[in-house]
Amino acid sequence: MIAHIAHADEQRGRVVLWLGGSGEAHDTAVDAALRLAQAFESEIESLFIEDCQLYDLAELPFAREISLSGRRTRAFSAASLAKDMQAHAAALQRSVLARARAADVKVQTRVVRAEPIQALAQACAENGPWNVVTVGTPIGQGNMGVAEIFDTVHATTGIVVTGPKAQRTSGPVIAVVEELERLVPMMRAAERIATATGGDARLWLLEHDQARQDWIEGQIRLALSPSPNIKFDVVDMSIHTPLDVARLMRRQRAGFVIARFGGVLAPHEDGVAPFAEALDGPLFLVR
Amino acid sequence: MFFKRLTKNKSAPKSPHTADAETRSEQKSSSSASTSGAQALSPAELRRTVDPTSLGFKTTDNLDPATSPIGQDRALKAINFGLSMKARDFNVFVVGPPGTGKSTVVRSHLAKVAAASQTPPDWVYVTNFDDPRRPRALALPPGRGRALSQSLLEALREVAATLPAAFQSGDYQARRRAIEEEFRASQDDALETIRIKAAQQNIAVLRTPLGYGMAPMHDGKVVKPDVFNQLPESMRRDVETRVSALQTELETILASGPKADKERRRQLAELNQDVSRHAIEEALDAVSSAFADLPDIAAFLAGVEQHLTATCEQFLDTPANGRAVTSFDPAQDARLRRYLVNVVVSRDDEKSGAPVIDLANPTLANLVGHIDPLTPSTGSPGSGSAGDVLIIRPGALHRANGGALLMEARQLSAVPAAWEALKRALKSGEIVVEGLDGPGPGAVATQPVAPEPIPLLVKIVLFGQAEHFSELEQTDPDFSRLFKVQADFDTTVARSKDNDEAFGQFVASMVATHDLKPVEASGVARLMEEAARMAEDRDKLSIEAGRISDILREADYWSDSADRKATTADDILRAIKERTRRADRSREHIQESVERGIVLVDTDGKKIGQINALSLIQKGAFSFGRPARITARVHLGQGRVTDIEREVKLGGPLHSKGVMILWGYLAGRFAQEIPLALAATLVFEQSYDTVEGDSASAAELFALLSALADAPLRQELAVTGSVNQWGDVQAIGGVNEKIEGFFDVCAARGLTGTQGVVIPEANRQHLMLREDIVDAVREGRFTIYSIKTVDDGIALLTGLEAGTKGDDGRFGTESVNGRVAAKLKAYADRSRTFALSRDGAGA
Repeated sequence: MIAHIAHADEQRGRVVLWLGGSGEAHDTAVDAALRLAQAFESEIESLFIEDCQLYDLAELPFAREISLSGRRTRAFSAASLAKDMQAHAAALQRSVLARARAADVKVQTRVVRAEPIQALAQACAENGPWNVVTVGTPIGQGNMGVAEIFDTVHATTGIVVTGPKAQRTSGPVIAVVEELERLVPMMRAAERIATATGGDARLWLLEHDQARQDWIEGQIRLALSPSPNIKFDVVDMSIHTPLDVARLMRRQRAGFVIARFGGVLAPHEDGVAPFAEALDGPLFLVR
Repeated sequence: MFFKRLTKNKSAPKSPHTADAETRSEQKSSSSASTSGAQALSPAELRRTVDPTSLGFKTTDNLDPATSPIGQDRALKAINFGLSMKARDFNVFVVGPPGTGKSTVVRSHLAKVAAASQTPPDWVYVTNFDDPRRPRALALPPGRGRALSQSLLEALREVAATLPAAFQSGDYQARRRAIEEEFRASQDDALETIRIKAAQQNIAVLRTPLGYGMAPMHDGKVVKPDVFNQLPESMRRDVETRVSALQTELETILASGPKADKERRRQLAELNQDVSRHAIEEALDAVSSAFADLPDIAAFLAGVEQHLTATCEQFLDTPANGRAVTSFDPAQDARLRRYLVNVVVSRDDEKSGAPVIDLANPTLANLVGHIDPLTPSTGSPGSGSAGDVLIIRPGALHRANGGALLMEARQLSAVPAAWEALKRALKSGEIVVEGLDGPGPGAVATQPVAPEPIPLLVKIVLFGQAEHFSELEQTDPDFSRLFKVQADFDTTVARSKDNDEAFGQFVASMVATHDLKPVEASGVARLMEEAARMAEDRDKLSIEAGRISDILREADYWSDSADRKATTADDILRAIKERTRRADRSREHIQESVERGIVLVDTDGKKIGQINALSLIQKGAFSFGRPARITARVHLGQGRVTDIEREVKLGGPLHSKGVMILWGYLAGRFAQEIPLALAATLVFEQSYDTVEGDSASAAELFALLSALADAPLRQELAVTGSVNQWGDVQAIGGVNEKIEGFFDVCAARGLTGTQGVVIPEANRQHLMLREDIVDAVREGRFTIYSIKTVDDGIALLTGLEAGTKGDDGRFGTESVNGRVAAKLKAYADRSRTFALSRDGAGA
């Protein structure tokens, strides 16, 4: 199951909200984690990773920290870094806890100092194979790449990323289908997420080849006949780019978009950020 | 105490007899007194009847209702003068007793005047965009205030519908995204550039919790400190130099962020205004065109457009519904409430005339308006916030501006804050709306708005009685300066052919006003007789509309009961009788006390020093007379009369004055040559309440003379009248009721033919007695006497000659005056003898 997320008491999987080690959490990303947890009746592990490389930097004699405004530069020490990290982690975790409480979602918080990707992999591995990683900071802000996560963090079925302008999780949940064998799990995932976001589940078939498109469309319509409430659309990728598709989705006021990493919309790492940034909601990439 | 009595011996206007009293001589006074001076009045003199046939109509249906009030020419001229004077200080005070119909008359008159006057403008309050705490007051031609308000309301509904839609259009979203993207990309690109540049130099740019740091890296990882420290110094310095240079670049990039963000916001604001301007212009187009002829309104609407455009971002997050919803109330939307128009004064159209406003409850708020207090419960979003014009509430001055405002003086003066506010408004010529706390000394300004004042040009018409006028005149120096026109309403008119006709029309107008049945001429005639009685003058008619209307409406009721198609004299009479009966409990109670001998009043025989006086008792609007026994005792003394009522503080000042006057009469007439060695006591027997007025002074004097002369007085007569020091008997008030009070006692005991009432000659003109008394007089069973002087009365009461001074300066010995003189001389002699013996004993 692509989007299987276990119940909290199964101790096998959950939503891992990676808050990063610096920077601010993105509201929509946190909201996406909460909706996923609600949809799959799971819990969240809110993970704050203090990047150990920053401590290496702090040990260097010329280490300086430039403020975000660029107007202040100060000496950078391990002690001051630790203090800042602690305060930042506490603030982020408190905020996540408050929102989780309001959404009636169970949250476990954890702060680790490690190399980020390794720490993420370890946190997922501890919980079994069924994890969805939600990146808590907007994509492109110095966080690790999706490909790197999929490569390193084996115990994850998908990664949720958000663009800097993402502003909602509500709205239609659009699952992008390219292969027939993924139809059912994609459709189920969309339906479950839709129960939490209040939107409807939709399927979009993206295909370059007209003949294959016709064939798959027929098969999908056949498969969907017991589920008349699911809206189905076909996008001819011979005339549309992924960014065109993102614009179409935005016009439909899409909330979650579910797509396969390596598929037509996000064929590789470089394509993820532009596509995610063009959406108004989170992008749920599955293996 | 057998009964509670509120006695009021009313004095009528002074008789002409008193006018030249000062110049009279004792000789002349004496000569005027004679035993034959009392005159028995004929039945015709007791009541002036009205012949229905003389009125010249059958029923009031034949008459045109009166178009102007009867007998109030002087008052109406005064009102017209006050209204036509444009100055702010020529306001009108209408004086007259209650129930005269003065307010109805004035309202009706003002309505006519106002209808022909110019219609004043509408007034609205609108937001002052330059100074929101100071809402602007704008005038519009009559009838256009409400149109402005409604048009703007609809325009704002349109704005509320179209603006969110404009912001959610694909075009807007695309342009917005482009701006956002441009900004973000420029920042990100710059950061990415330096990241790449740093990476090429094996320097990592790391995000820290509060900013950025740079560190040397190897194979994509930050070089560990111990590894770095093992590098050759030159290499370490090189790294430091590169890091330092990159840091400077990064600082520059980051420092440009706020400026770029400012530019982004500027561009977004420009975009928002560009997109919204069209929608707003479109929505306001109709109202702007409709009011383009009014520069102030046009300027305000331009301000609305400008302000809406400048603050259009408020509508960015509003879901679009695409069309204006008529049920949507912009007043409930904090973003739109400020643009609404508060119509404080609205006229129907240019032909509606000047307003005439009646303010029944002149509180401060009702008079000058108020500003709703800042309470969350007042509730609409944005209500009560600084600059909210909708919380300004107009008062009666706003509505009456350009016309007239009518109030009762008593009610207004009972609310000092309202009275002071009115004076301020009249003096300044402006209406200033204030918070409920007002601008009192030391008050803290908490009201969210201080509206611009509205120019005031109004005529204030106050209604009140003479005492209200006097009180205000004496206690408030501003009153005379602001109310320079006094309209004095008469309560009576003289009987004349014209006025009789006018009275008929007066009745006809009441019939029309109250939707009554027509009144037959006989009914009008009977009503006129009652009006004459109310006027206490056979030659006048009361024009107290309230009381006459009450009788008329009650008569209409009785006419209905009798299934008549018109109100007749019988119905009028029935109404009068029923009214009397309803209020008659006290009179009956007193009457019963007299009849049962609880209250002692003789109606036959003769007694020395005892007389029946007549007092008037007032119970609300109903008054009646009752006989009261007065007794006098005399004895040797030092010239002092003891008024027992006064001694026990039951005598009012006018009563005491009357007693002193009669003492002056005695001294002047009988003590020119001898000292007045007399002491006397006078008392109202069985009187337990305050006695006021001097109408019993004649009776008291007769009792005193009787006691001095040992001459018994006829108890079958009752006396009313006041005396002066010359012995003239003067007119009193309530003569009809007093006569009727004694008549009822006599009638209950059986009329003997010798019974009667003695009244002042000057009161003959006031007689409008009940028909049963007139009948009794006609049949010789009762008599009304009039007297001019004390001598007329004493002769009638004793059956003796009063007595005049002869050539020797002495009264005849058998005359009453002779006896009195003899008794006083005897007292003087005894007093002198007593004094001598006392002095001798003392020596």
